Amino acid sequence: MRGALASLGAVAALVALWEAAVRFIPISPNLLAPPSAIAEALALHPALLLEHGWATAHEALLGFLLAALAGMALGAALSASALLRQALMPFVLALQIVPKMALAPLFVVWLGVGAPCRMAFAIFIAFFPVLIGTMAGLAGTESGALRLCRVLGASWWQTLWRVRLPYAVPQLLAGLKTAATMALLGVVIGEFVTAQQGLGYVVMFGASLGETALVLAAITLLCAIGLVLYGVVLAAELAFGLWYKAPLPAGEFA
Amino acid sequence: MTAARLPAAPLLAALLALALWEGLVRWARVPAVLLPSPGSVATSLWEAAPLLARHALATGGAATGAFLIALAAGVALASLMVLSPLATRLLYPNLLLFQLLPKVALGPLFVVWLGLGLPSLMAFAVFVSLFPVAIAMLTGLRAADPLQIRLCQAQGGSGWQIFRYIRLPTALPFLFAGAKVAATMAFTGAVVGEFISADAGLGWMVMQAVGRSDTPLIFAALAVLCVLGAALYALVVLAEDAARRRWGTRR
Repeated sequence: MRGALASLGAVAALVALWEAAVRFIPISPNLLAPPSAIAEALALHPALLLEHGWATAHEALLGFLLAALAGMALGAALSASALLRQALMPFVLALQIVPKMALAPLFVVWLGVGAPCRMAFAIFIAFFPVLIGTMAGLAGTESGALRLCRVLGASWWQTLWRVRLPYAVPQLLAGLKTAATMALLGVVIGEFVTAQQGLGYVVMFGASLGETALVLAAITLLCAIGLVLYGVVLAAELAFGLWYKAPLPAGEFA
Repeated sequence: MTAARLPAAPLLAALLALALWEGLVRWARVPAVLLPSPGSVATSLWEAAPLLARHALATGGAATGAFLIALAAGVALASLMVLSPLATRLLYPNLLLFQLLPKVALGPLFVVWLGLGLPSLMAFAVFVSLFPVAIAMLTGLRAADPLQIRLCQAQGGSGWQIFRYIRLPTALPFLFAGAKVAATMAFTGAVVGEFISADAGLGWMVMQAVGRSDTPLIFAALAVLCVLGAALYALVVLAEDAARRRWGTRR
């Protein structure tokens, strides 16, 4: 609790310092807008920011959910089948190394400049952390627990549901948290590249006009959307904990 | 046996995928604008080689430079935070705040601040790749065994000795994990910066090719980019191996 207060204090101090610095040192508002100007921009353009913010938020949320489903499904399939792993893992690992964000223009070529392009790109970006988290989680079950299941005659399904899944959840949740951030980033990069709508477009547009306060207002909204997406994962974590009615087993990395 | 089989199987799978891709494009007559065949990408790669090499040098240089700066700054920041509790109080919450921020979205601001060109591009790439290094290094430095630290203190070890002989060796594997993320992020930062506004580099070339619907050239430029990104990643892995052999860090 004290730690949280201290953290909040440090952040508040940064904001206050920022406001004071901009007031006392004559910095052009085009270079760095003070927090008060950002609040003003938020209040001045609510319709514009809400419209573009809504576009970004629902594309990111949908992209995240689809990426989570696809990542968990393929992660489960890959950890179940050695053949599939041998065939696909080299590609997965290669794509891990490659700067995936750079592939955004390809999606424009394939899907045009609309929402499908941005969502497909967000799914593509957010998919891999979920896949890796699912696989690492399912592989991380304690071997003693698995042996016990075999000795007690548990079926494959019982083992998966009762033992392997709870062990996998911490890693899976870590992957989902990364994916939540990545989905939003994917949508924003897509908006940079397609330049049609969304907060990423507002950021680009505002920057080209030198409207720094508007840019920072849009970024503030992006942070809020990011926090909401992160909150969705936290809620899932909480719900699982309630349903499971026991503390999650701490994985190797917890 | 397994050592010889391991590299062969993925290579075979990749070749098979390429052959399948070429066959599919030819058989279904997919227009080159949508999906160029590997052959036409190779042709484009060959024809645009001098141009690609020049822009690859620009992007690769910016990304590698940014990566090195981010590495040094991240290590310095994390070390400062471990050595000074006051620095931790001041910096750590802000570091976490930046972790939550969609950092790549701040790209256009760097253009406003530093104008077009290499300084703004590199500053953005450093900004994007600094945080993984700082967080990983900090986690690593804090992961040191407290018993070892107490023992060192009891023997009269100085703060610097504790840092050098106990914290640093523990942190190395964490640092390399962070460096791997940072290597990819540095390239991401450089290319996204070039998407936003640039007059050189592979990202700029890709955007130009998108404008002309020259899909084979897009693929060629992206292929070069992927190879560059993988090369920096491989260098980090090599450095990790060397460090492990030299200092015997166990993972």
